[in-house]
Amino acid sequence: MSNKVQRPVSPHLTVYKMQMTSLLSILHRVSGIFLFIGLSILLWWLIYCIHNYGYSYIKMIYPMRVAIDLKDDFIFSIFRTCVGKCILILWSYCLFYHMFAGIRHLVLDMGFGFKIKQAYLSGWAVIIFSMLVWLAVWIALLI
Amino acid sequence: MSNSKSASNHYIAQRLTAVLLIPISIWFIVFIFKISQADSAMEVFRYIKSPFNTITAMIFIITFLYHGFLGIKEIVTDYVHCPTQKKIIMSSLVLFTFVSCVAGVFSIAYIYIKLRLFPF
Repeated sequence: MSNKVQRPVSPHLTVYKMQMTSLLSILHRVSGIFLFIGLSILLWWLIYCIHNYGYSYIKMIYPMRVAIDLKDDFIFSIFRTCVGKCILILWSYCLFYHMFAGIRHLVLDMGFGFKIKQAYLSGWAVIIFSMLVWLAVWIALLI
Repeated sequence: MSNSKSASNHYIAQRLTAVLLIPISIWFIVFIFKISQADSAMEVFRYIKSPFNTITAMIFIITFLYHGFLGIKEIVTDYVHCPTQKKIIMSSLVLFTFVSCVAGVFSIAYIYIKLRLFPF
């Protein structure tokens, strides 16, 4: 009888009230999953490129120099559309967020910043710095 | 299945790869920026041609896959409670990570050797 009751189990996401610090920790995991998926897609695209163009390269007569146009490439053509660029820009925020939040977690692992005020301060610092670096990088890239 | 020693190994490995990934990610951002400016595949391969970029790309692939594997393993042990589902997710994750790692590292080694043998 008792084993049929569905009790909430360990990370109590739906039980506790959402706080800024817990939201940061959850977003760290979510951004990590997005990063893993995105980087895997990039990696397999790189492997595809190497084997596709690399194979056609060895068939070329040396030392003939032929530039293979990347405009025909499937993923490059996605990244050149407006929606593709927006997805890429939003996805890249995961990288900066995960990096800064990861540094915060490393500092917490070393035993610093456990006071409530410090934890909130470092949390806001992570958000502000990751946003600033993200914007700075994209402004530098697009100008 | 997981005793205290493998748990502490998991903890240490996750932190070590995290520290290693900080400088390599900065390299990766610059690398992706250079690749996005390229118009032809040859230009992309030209960046891979330098030994520094080749080795860093290999280290990046191995480290990010291992770090991501450890992170997703942690998430799966936290949120997936059905043992069968857990086994299916974990074994497919191991397979995917291993195949991606081998394919990525060998592809980069392949294009590096090819560009060294047949420079253009």
